[in-house]
Amino acid sequence: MNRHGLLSYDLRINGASHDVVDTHFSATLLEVLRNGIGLVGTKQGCEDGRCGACTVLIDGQAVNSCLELAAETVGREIVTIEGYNRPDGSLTPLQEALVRHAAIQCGFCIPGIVLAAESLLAERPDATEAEIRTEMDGNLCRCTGYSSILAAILEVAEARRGC
Amino acid sequence: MSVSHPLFLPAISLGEALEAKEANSAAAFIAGGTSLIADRGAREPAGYISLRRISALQEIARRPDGLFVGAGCTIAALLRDPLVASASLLVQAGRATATRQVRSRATIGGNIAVPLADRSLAPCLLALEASVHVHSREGLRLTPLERYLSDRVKAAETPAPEILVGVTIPHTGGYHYYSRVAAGNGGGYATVSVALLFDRERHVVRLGLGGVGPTARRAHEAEAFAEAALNWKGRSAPTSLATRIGEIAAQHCDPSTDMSASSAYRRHAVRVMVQRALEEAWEATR
Repeated sequence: MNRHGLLSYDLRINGASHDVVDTHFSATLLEVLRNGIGLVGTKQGCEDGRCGACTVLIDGQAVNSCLELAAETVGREIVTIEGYNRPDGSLTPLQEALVRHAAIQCGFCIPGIVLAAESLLAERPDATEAEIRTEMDGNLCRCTGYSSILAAILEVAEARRGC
Repeated sequence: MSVSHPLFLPAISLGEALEAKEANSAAAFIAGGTSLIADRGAREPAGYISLRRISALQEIARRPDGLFVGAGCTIAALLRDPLVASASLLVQAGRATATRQVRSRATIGGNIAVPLADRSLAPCLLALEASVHVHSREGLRLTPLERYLSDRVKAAETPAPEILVGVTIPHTGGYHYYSRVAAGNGGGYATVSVALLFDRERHVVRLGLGGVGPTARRAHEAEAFAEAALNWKGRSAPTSLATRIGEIAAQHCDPSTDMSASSAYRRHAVRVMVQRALEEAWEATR
């Protein structure tokens, strides 16, 4: 047993392997992503699961990385906003819709909102406006741009359904 | 592939998890982790024993004595499973629990085992008269949830290690109603919650209350009064009767004052919420 309470392991993040070396056993995935690996697109907000700014995808599921032990995610596929973004810098349809609806004000909540919305649309492609409202309950926008955020997500959902 | 280390042990069986806890009593069992990690600044354990990979905790099955739900099932899994649809109270409470991200990790076992009265599922499981399966060195035991919760409140500082394996919910009919109040009525923990099973055929009223004592509790006195006083065959119930049932529930609880609400607020809320639950159930089943 390491007397300093440190662990080393390997994480799969955005399709690549990352060595996590001598990290405290109770480090969260958020702490490892931001402080250990330098993936700062994942935002640090409330740190108790209320705001959703730290949302990442683990095996496709939207999860608060502030409430997930990093050691627990060994062997899982983790996607952060950096992995979601297209390598050529072009925007995905969801990102385009958010821009078109002026759904981005300060932008702090947007990485979490993008990943939460993508996982929702993947899980429930037929989501109605009411369901989108309910299922996006894990992401706060302190600029209160909810109407435009919801409109953008709904537009993408309808476009995918061919409405 | 996973880390395997005394500081973080991903157990694959109940026996392995129990042995690890016996070897390191200051380590904490962790499943969803949504409460434990948020609180780790105040109480950091000496290590974690993860229960996520124990298949016995993941099962949802219809059994002769009722619906079995493994303690490791997440609330998201609960909401997805067609078998759980028959326990409408659980679905209502599950939907009202926290946020989508938290529901994808928070487990039914954690929701019950955290000895706090503000979690969503315990009042519902009490109203459904659920029992819990608990694994310890002595083997597996089945205990009524009500006794399990009150024993946990009275438990010694360092009780013998045990693992909540799952709950069995007896097959039940009736009308199910769940309501809660929370700060800003948002996704946070419930300040007060009320779960009602109302069965006209069996003349049964079961009330589970959250937030009005050290743990979730049954409102036995209000249930007994309601079952005796209701004119089950009648078409209308006087509003004064629902009011009286709410008053009895409020009299026989033990709410505390904390940063969420005062004791007086909680007592008032439970009175009104029980009254409305009864009125709603009566109307819906007329």
